[in-house]
Amino acid sequence: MKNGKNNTLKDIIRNNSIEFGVGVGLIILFIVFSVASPYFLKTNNLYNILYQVSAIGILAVAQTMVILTGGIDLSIGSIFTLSGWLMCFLIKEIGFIEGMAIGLLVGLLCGAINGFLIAVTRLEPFIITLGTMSIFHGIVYIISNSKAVSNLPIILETIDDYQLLGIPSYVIILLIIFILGQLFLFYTKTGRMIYAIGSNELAARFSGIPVHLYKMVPYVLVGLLSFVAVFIQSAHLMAIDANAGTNLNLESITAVVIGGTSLLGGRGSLIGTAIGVLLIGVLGNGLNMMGVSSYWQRVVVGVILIAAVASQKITISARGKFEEKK
Amino acid sequence: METILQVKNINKYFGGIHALVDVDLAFKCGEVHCIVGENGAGKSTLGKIIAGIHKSDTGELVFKDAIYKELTPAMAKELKIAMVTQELNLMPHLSISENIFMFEKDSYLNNVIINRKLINEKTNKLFEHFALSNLPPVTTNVENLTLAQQQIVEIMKANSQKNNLLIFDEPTTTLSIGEVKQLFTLIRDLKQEKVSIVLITHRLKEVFEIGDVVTVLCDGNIVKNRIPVKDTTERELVEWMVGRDIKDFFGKKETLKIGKPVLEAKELSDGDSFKDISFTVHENEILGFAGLIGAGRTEIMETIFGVRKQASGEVLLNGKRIDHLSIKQRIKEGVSFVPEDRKGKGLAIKLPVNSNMNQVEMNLKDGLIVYEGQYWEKNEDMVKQLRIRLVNMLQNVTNLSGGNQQKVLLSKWLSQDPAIFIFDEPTRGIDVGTKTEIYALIKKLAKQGKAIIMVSSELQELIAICDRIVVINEGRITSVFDRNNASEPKILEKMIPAK
Repeated sequence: MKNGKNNTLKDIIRNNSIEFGVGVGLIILFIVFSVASPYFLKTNNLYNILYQVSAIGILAVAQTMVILTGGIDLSIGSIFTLSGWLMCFLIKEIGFIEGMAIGLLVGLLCGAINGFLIAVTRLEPFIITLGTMSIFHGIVYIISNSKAVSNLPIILETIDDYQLLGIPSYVIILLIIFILGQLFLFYTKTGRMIYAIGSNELAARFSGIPVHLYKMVPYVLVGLLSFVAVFIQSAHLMAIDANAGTNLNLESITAVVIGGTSLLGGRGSLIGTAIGVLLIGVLGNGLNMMGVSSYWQRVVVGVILIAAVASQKITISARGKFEEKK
Repeated sequence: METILQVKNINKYFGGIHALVDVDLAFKCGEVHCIVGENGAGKSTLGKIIAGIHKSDTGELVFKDAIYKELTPAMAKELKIAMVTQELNLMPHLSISENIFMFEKDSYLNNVIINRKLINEKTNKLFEHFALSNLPPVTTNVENLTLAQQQIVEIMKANSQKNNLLIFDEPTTTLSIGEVKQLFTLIRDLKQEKVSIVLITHRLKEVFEIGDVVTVLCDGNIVKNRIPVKDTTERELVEWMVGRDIKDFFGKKETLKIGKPVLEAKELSDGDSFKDISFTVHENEILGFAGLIGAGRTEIMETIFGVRKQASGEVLLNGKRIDHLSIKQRIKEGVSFVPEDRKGKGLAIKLPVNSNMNQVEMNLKDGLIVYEGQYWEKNEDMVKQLRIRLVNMLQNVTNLSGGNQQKVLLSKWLSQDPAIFIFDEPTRGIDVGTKTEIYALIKKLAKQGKAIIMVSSELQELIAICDRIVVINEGRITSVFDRNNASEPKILEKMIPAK
């Protein structure tokens, strides 16, 4: 927005109160863990956190866009696995470029299929992607026979180890995707239309916006970003198995929701999602250091999710009252 | 007449807004007490305090001789006070009879199993009692009813017990003329049964048709307390409501020279709700569309704009066919449409004011990159020009009043400078002050050479503003009136389906 005339810092905080709220939560966690463990703030550990959230973070970017339109993509983890498994297999069998290209194409194709089905059938995205989640994962099992691909060529390790000014490659990619994503949402026509459609699809139609065309875009982006995410993860692990992305469906949604994006669409941002992703990463890492078992960590993530959304709801209604008052 | 309820010294705050200021008011048995006032005057709030839905901050309610600090919905029910609220509170997937009786204890066998036979019988009896005949069977799910029928169900729900006091909050907004008649018969019956009726309304005509006394609220204050209806006039009421003298409510109508044709419809049909619709609207002309709710007016306009599928016929803009074009292309050619359902079809309710204003413009823009800040000055101009009252443009649009929301909706099209404006119920649910502003705006646009279509259910408004009025009856044009020979009775006659 053009600043300086009407909006004060107070307005900015008020309009982004949810992001600020989750941000404060993240800072508190940071302080608690750095007091609790001297290793927490070590550069290596921080990079480690970022690596741990790299796949889920990249997926959450795409998932945010889908959810902003009022949709949801439950097949995101299956697309991740399908395009990743094919990529790894083909890199090993045929060659690096060919494997990459086909992996990317398969990801895009899967996303396009979702978007196309949603636009044509006008069914709920939940139903369509619940179906394709099963279809895509089924295909992985069929072609892989449930076998993992390992011993990938050394070039992947080189990419994984690459550093720019001492910053690991996956951190750079993660950062670029978040920044580009946020710019896309705020400064491109498609981005603004995503918000308009999620806020009131009918009103968007009555403004002449080709709603179904724009609604397809985020699903295709899911395909693209699933490929990027799986590439980073396989390069790091130098292997992929047929269940690589199973948990990512729901985890990506968890991060988006903690970050303050409304499941009904129209409200949210990638800044919120970034904070949500970091919160999950920091929590996991910190609890690990404190010796909390991973079983308990799952319980904690669930509690945080519900607490975060409940507090956001309170914030929103308080803000409504505040504006009414004015 | 016996006083059934008195409210004393009621004050109510919503955040910083003082919604009701020291309200003292009495309600009597067998009397229709109308409450009028602009939007936000506090009418509904007062009704809701009496019905126990809202709590007042100070004051008390005296029911017969008992004094209550405040009421809860359960207590109100016990005192037999009911309210038909403006928002419908029906459960769409349940039947009519379940909606009416599901909260009664007697509707369940041993308090557990629902006694469908009983509640269906009770509902039928209720309908018979009020001589309602044109409703579907009581086992029909509410979602299959029209909005007007749903409203009737809501009214029946409030009448499922014999009430002492019954509050209607704008009950006629969604009803067509025939159903309004039915409702008024019902109110007269209730009056005979000594029920105290409170009628909150926007439509001043209704006050004179059915009211006994009228109370005027302005900004939460009672400006006129229990004036006998026969001692006042419509104009006087408007002046009290607005708190100022309105010289000419609709403004003066200049007779403009009608220019060349802009939009033509030829034998248009959507194969369902309307047929054989042909008309032309010219430059400098305001063409009105009258008709009952459900007559097909909105459907015609949505078809012309392109959001509804057209079955046959032609739509021409400046002599060029546009009916094969997408909505976006039609907008580019100069068509614009302000829909009737502001929150449902008009505004992006989660977005700030400026994003709403820019929606059409951004969609038409070529290229991929937009920066909403680039429209900031244009938006500010629009806010000034239309006198939109807001805190700032980043404010969420839902927090504006109805009139200001309507202005935001208008501004999204005004900035496009279209050749034709289609307004569907442009003044529904907005206050008197904003109404006059919108009339002035529409007339200004006509003067600038725009062609204007105005769909409205308020005949007075159509007669005052339009050059010609097309009457739609069950999806067909029954008559076209010239401004000089249009009158309410004549138009009404053509609106109502022949039996």
